[in-house]
Amino acid sequence: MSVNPVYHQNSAKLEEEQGWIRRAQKDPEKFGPLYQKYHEQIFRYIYQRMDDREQALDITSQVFMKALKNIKNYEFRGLPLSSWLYRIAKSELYQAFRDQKALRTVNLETVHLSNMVLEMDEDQNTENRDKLFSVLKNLNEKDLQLIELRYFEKRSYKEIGEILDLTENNAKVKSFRALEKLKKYFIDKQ
Amino acid sequence: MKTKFNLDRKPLDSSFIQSRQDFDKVIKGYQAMKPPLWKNPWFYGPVGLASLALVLTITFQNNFFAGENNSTLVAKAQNKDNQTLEDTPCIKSVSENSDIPFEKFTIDPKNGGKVITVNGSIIDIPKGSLLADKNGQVTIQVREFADPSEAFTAGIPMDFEKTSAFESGGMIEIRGEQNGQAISIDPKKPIKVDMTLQKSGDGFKFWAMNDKNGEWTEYPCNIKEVSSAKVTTKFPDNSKIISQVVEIKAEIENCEKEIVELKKAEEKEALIPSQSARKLVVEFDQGSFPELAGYKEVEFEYLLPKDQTQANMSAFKKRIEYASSQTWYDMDVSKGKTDYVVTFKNSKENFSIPVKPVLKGKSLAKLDQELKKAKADKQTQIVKLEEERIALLKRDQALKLKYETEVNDIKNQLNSYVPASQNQELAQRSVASTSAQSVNAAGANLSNTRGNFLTNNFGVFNCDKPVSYPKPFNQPILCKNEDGVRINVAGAYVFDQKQNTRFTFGEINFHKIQDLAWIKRNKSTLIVIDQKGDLYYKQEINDDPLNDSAVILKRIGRENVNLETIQKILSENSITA
Repeated sequence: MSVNPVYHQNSAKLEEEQGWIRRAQKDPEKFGPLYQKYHEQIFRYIYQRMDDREQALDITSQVFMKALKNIKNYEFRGLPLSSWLYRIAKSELYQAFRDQKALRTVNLETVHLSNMVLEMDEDQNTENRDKLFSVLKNLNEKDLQLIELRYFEKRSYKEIGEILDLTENNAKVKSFRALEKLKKYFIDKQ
Repeated sequence: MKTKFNLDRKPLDSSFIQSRQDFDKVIKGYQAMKPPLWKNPWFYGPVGLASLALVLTITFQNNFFAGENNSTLVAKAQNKDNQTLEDTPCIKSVSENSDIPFEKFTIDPKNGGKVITVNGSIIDIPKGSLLADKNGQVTIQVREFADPSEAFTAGIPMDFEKTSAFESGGMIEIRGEQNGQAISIDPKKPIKVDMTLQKSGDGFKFWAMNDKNGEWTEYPCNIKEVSSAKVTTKFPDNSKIISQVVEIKAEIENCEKEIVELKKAEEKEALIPSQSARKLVVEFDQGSFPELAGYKEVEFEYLLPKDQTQANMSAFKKRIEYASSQTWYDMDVSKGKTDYVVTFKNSKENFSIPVKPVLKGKSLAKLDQELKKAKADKQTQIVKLEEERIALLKRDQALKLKYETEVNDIKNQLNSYVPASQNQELAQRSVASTSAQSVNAAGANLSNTRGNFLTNNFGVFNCDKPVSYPKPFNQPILCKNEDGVRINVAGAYVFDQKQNTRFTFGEINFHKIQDLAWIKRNKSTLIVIDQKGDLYYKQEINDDPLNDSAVILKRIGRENVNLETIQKILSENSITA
């Protein structure tokens, strides 16, 4: 199983990051290195869930403004800053959806569909891929988020837990259930 | 929620995303989000007091104020940018960006004490005079208004009995609070104020302001010239030194913290694979094992028994053979209290064997080399931080020495210049405290005119002479901007420089906008605030209004309205807005 390489960092990197955070907590203008480090992945997380590129850039900026505002309250709990940023990003993103400033979009690739078809022990053919693509639309938002994070973005359960504010075990159980639900929709369609 | 599904959207290139990074925009956005500190209620509450206490503790612990006599004077922490009190209902600063800061003094209400302001005013608080929790500290906050621009910026009403405005000879505002709550004074034990006045003479009387409605009533005060000697002592500003010392202390603390963390950081053992042990290929979630997150590629090998007797080894082999012979549909790695365990699962059973994580494909020599390098890097970092810490300590010492030198200079200056009648007392206080109070003046002069009064109310006190309002012109004055557009005036203020008086017109005052007028023979400046808070001004309006009864004013955006701008308008002939 692959993991998100940026999420997992060695201790030296985490220590370096802690230094940046301490400096930013004293002077928000010193947040620069953290911004540079995480801008792209936070942007990709947001853009992955919407259609408008410029709006995604705006929401990304908003995420970092919020992060700057709250950096003084940030406490290190053994995880990289990214998990905290993802939580802010999720909150900003869904606020934009609620305010109808952005349209919730699921962006996926053919290869994701192929992998998922395999995961469901089905033949990896165009027909099955199309069927899967069509039944994905039956999932509710919560299950869709889990499938996106786990199977399209290949994130670890720990990271999913951090983003969705769940325990690692809970993230695992819920992801499994979401997959089971998807399988059921898939079989029912046959 | 409506959801759209896209298949195979064109991926975005990293270089594009990086090209759209704009940290300046984020910083500007953040600054726009940040409310002014003085609007934060916590500033005046426990956090404000706690911060003050922390600064004082740090300062005292380091014997910063050597030889202080706590019973006479209590130290002051000064940060002028953050010293704005929540104003009373009738005192509203002219702009949200600017207000006149208070000086803050901490007093023990049980023992009372004396404070000396930057202008040389002395407030004597008797024991038990302050009605507050005797176990806590009280903050006395004082500000004095040296000129019309300061009183205007602070928003102090300057009208008297609807017909006159005050020509000020000196004004002081005194407030007391404990834990963010206003306190009062025991009527039987009034506080004594010895106030420095800028001006006195014929027509000048002493007044106290009613906080609720801004009206002034005459107040008993003994105004006197204490000496004819001109006092020109200038006090150096030590606030920068104080803030530098505090900053350096924080840096030293950070340095020390980082060193401790580095020293105590557990040196992770390299996960060196055994030469002969059997490897196990298991897919596992690295996120489940944060301690392994630092290693790029990890695999597991069976953990040999600690006591490798023949019997133990034979049992170990049997377990492995059993594991290899069965069909399992799942494997899972977990961590117990100390060891990792792999669990094989099928429909009949769960079968566990202890395992050990090892680095994939690493030679022993290479691992050893990496470990040594990591240790050396850490040591270099510690040495660097130690050097930084020593440099900071030296800087700290140098600043303290500089401060002490300045304090000694002040003592000498006070002994030389203070009027004879007060010389002894002031000098004693200064020597006793060597604290911020008596020396914390930025270029203030000691005046030789004093106003002595007793009060059992906190508030604003003023030595003033009432000056009559000018009669309205025949036609109401129109205020226009430089484009000729009429200004939607909320308040208009005429600063009569000859009479050193501010006449106020507008909805906040008895005198309506249509009554706007000035005395043409006097040099006056007109300042107008519109409904949005933008400021407009015109200097030397003596000959205005012109034929069409309009005055053309220059605009200053509300974001630039502050004391400095107002002082420039009132003191210079031109200003770059």
